[in-house]
Amino acid sequence: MNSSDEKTTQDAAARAPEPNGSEPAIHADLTTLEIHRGSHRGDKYVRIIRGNPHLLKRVAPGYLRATAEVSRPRGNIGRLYRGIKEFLVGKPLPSEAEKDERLNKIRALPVFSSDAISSSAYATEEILIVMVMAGAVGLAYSIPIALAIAFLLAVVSFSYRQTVHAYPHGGGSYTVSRENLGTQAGLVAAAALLIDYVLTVAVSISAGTAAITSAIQSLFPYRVEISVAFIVIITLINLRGVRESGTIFAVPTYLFVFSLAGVLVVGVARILLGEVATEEPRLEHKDLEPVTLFMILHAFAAGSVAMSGTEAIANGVPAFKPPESKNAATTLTWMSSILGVFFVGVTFLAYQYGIVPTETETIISQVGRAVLGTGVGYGIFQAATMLILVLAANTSFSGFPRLAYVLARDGFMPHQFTFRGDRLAFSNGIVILGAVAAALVIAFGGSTHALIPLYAVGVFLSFTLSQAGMVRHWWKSREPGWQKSMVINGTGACLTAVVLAVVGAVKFQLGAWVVLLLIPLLVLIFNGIQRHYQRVAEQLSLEHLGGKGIAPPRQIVIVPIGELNQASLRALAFARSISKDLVAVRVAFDADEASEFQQQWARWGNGNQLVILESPYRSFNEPLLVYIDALHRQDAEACITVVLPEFVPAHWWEHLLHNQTALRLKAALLFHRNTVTVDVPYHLVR
Amino acid sequence: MAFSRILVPVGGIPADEQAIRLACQVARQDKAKITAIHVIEVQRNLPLNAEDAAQMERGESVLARAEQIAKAARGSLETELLQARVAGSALVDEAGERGIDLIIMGIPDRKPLGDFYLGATTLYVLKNAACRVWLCREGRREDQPAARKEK
Repeated sequence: MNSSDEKTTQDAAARAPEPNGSEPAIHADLTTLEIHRGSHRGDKYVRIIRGNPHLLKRVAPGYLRATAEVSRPRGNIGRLYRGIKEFLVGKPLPSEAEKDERLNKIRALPVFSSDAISSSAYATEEILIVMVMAGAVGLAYSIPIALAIAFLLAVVSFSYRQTVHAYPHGGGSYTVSRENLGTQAGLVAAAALLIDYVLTVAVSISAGTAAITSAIQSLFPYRVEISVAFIVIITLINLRGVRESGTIFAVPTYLFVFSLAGVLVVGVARILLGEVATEEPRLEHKDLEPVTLFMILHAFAAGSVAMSGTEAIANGVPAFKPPESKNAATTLTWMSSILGVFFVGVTFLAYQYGIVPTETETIISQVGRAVLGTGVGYGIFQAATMLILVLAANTSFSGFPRLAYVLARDGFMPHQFTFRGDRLAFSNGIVILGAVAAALVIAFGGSTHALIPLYAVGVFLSFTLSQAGMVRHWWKSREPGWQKSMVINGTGACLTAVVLAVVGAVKFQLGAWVVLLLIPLLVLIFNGIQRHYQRVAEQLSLEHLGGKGIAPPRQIVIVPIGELNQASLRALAFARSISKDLVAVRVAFDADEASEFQQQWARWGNGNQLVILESPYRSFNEPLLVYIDALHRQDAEACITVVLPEFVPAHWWEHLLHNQTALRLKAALLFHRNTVTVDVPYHLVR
Repeated sequence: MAFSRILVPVGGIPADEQAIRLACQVARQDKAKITAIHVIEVQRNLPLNAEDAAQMERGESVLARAEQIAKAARGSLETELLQARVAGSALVDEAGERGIDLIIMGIPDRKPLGDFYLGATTLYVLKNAACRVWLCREGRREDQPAARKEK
């Protein structure tokens, strides 16, 4: 039943006849059809010969898709590296899995909100530290100040809800400011946020480490190592992809949310049941200051620092499951509601329980202890607080790479930041953030108190620009209800501007001036990068060709030959196949060597031109480069192709036994104008 | 009786899995090579070599799935994609060309609307293949009634 006495082959990619009527010379999409005659008269069937479907899958004529197998390393070292990498960051995901990697609201909340929610652990303390200077009278202002900040948070959140719907491709403050206030305003917002993200990681990780070294003081000498280890762990978890990091970080975030909610419910219930008598705070200060407007503004500005991280969701809208904007807006509302309720709640309980800041215990710890006592519940609450403070850094790991991606997409940051890694996360942004934050921690010896004054200036600058941008947006769009939205955003812009001014004034001498220097510096760099990309694009643009293609240039081929062997003869044969203008060049160190080579050439040179370059000073590359330039001057339009014969030893270590002449010449030719370098390898088998 | 070359036609139906697993068992025992073949049937109003991208892609997926099943069953197989007017004759001809000595076909329990039915491809292979043919019928699901008894 042998059926294939007669068979014909066709290229599946080119079933249409060739323009000249001939069969295609190669099967470009690696698929050919063999027509076989069947066992019965007239029976035929087609065998579809697929090139290598395990590695390259053909999806359509002329369209191949690489499989996961392609990236699987073949060598032992490669396999070991791959194994370690897969253990640390997980197996690579195909691009089409991007939709599966997106976050639902439950997972998105811990990813994007850990920074904002963690603020409720220390924001009250920031207010009380200022107001306690005025004694009990000052502390009475803490609740109105907290309510004012909650109002500001509501305004900013409302603004970002509008942003999320108006700019569903992400970008947050940068996009809003750029589109409505101009490119430079957008870049200022972006620079401010990028600085803030780096500082958030360094400061929050150091704070988390400080909590650990306070509890276990023998670890204090290792605080830098511990902080760097935390940064490495968070970096690796983020490299595993946004969905997995969401799952990992969900547990501590929700533990904190539920435990603090429990503290608030129990604390308020005890007040309502009359179990708590409002206590007069025990104040250590003897010299009390009067309550002034500056003090209130200072406390307001200090407490407003809690709002950092609010913009992260607006940056990361594309990370949400569809409908992206709606889910992002809902998560934003959850986040700001939780933060607002927690912040006001903790401030209320602190006032009701007569709690004041001390140097030995945080306000949140005092509130927890006053409400829960010192049992297991308090222990869990404290552990959750420590974890959320460390995880505040994770919001930056979501925000920074996405903002860097948007900036890179617009040409203001290196294009490498648009790269998605094996797990579809913006790996370069994540690694750079981890590296810079670790460098800061090391530079400051694990004590980042000096960085805290730098913190928050950037956030409020971006808030102000973003809200001012939204005011302009409403003014331009005149959508239904624009007046109301514009008033809210305008109010928000004014309030955040006030906070910015106060924070700037209070913290200027403490180091905020560094940020005010860094922001314009970064903006200058962004503009420089964009100018470079514009120059590249202009020079490569097809528009200059006026609709015409590029005519094939004349090829002048140079084959530098060291000695005549199979490798050099194969390179000569290859060179001959691309041009008849072929010159073999031998760099000889003396006349005897030259003469000997000329004799060999007469036997093996196959009639090709040979030029001897005698180099009495024993340099190899330089005379050859000068010769190439001189030859090129004979025909400036021609393309000089240098064909390099090179034999490749069977084992990597055997490279050490050979001169790397070809390699050095390739390096020298890399930046040589109008020169193409072609390597003709000859693989040795043993 | 030892086999050296086994052919498993795969159509992307659940019954393929049992057939591949059985083939892997036999291949392990006899050190035989397995080839899984999927045939794209081309309508008569089209040229035999007409390309249907969707069918090609489906065929690739069916064969990729066959490889996965074999891998899970600690076996390996090579795959082949054919295009023919009638699947049965292409399978029989290809089996002859490859020197196949056993064809293992997975068949479903029955067609949804009635009596047990082997299908045209299975019948053709049973009637015309020179080598041995084993049929591997999938197990009956609980929600399916028993087949009508033969009169």
